[in-house]
Amino acid sequence: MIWFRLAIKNILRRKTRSLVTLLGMTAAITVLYSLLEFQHNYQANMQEDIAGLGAQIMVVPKGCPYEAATIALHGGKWPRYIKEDYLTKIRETPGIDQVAGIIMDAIFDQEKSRNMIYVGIDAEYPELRANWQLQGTWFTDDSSIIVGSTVAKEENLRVGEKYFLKEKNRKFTVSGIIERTNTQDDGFYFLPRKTMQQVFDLEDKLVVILVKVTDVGDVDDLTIALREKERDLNIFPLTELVANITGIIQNTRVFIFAVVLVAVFTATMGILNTILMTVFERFNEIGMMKALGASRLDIFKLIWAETIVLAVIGGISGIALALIGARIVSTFVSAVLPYAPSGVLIGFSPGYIILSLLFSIGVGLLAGFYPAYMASSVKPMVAIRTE
Amino acid sequence: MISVRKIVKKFKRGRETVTALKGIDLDITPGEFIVLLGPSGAGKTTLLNIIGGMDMPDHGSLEMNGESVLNTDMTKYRRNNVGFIFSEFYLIPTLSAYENVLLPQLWIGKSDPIYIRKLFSYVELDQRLHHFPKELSGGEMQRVAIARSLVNHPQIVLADEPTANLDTRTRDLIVNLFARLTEEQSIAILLATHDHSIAQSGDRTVRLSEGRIIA
Repeated sequence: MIWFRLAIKNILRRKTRSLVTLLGMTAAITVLYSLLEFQHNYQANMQEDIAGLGAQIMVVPKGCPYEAATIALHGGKWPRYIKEDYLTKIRETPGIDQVAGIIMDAIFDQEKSRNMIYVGIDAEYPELRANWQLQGTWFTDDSSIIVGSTVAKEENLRVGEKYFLKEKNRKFTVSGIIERTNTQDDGFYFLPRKTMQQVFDLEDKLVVILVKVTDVGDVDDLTIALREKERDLNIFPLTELVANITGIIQNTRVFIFAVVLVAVFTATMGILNTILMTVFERFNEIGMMKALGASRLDIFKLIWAETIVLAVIGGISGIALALIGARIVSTFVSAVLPYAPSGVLIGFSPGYIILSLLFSIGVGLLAGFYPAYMASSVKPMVAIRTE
Repeated sequence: MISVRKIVKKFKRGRETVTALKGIDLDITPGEFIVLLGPSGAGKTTLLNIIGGMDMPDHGSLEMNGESVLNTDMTKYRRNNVGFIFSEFYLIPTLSAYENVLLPQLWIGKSDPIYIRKLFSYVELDQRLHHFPKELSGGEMQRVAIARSLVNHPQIVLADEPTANLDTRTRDLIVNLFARLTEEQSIAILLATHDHSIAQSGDRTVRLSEGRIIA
């Protein structure tokens, strides 16, 4: 323990220099931890999102399939539509179990500065949602509304209460509240599809169709069959969507890892330089320690301990910074990605924290080896005479 | 008992070879305070370094209690037998006086706070235990360095110009402390200096000139 106390005291001798070195290490570990977390959570959250849909095939209008998928998963306004007639064509295809046609629109709430997502669904939709627990009942009439748990809390709505959609001048009665699902559904307003189409002037239009097949092994064949029926739509298995998005992320990962590598290399060189300078400055002191009986190993341990302490402090502050800035980074990353899944992208993972700390120690061991070796090789007589 | 026999030490200075010590013979008995007197370049520091195990002679032998020291583990020899005092003190500024004295014990893996306190009392710095070097005067710093040199119970303390950076009053204080140390603790002291006024303080003065003992 005294080695580390001694190491900390030595690091504090040159506060500014140590701080600058620490900043380099902090930045490198922030990027590393954020990237590890992002890599893990992005894929996991996306798969969870897709699984939450309860379908295997997605049908969206022509256009960017990733944008369409984002709208379908997170809700929003997309001015491209599918004709409602197509629902019948799909239903008639052998091997199809459930088909849910969905219409969506968004209204921006000026007061709350957020988008309110309205989703028009029919009775087939909850069949795809195995995790729905409804408080109250399904739509009782054309003026019913079902809301997600977050909406109910924010709007202070209870079953049986009235909800006024002022932008459309329509009153609805809350027939049901969906208990928390931890998915995007928690923040949606669900209306009967026909009502939604009429209120939002989107008659006979759909934004997405979700298809559940009877036998999962038939997904590819059924996708081909559906594509032959309607060539003007994007029809794809959700596994393909996951694979394509993951592919894009994998490609960027190589580049991002290169950036991490450069950051870590720079931090390593920074630590090496700092420790090497302190060794040069403390030549007399090292000579004195050797004269008083310190062995080569003692000096090596002392200098190595300083490097490791510096690297570990940098590692801890890097992880802390990554956690503090997680929301900002997540928001930024979500904005630039082709598809941003719901859920936490950068969070608290003990496994990655330990991994990042071990990595910091590794950097410390590596960066400290040469200065420690140099200091331990100093001849005491020469060191004491050095001006 | 330390015996130095026919010690020769040569250095390369550019193309020239300089003989710093030209066959030195010296016996140091426990509790003896020897003043090694000579001008700069006489070979005082070189002799101290060889006796202290920090440098190896080209010829000659060094024995402690009848056993040859050269070609053994010099770190172990220094750690267990030798204490060093330098003119520059070399206290670590981030450590308190107490921690500076404790430092050599770190190398032997022990900590003896009671003995360290005794040493502070011995060098009359009981009230300065937790002061940092910048809070101490030159004389106080040198007394901390003396305590540090004694902490691992050495048989000999080698002091290289220990009073060079001190005023006359502090110099006398330090020299008296050395004299007391040899008397009370039976530790041998070899003090190298060019200051003739210190010469009378020792039990014996060894005059060194151009690498030879002249008196």
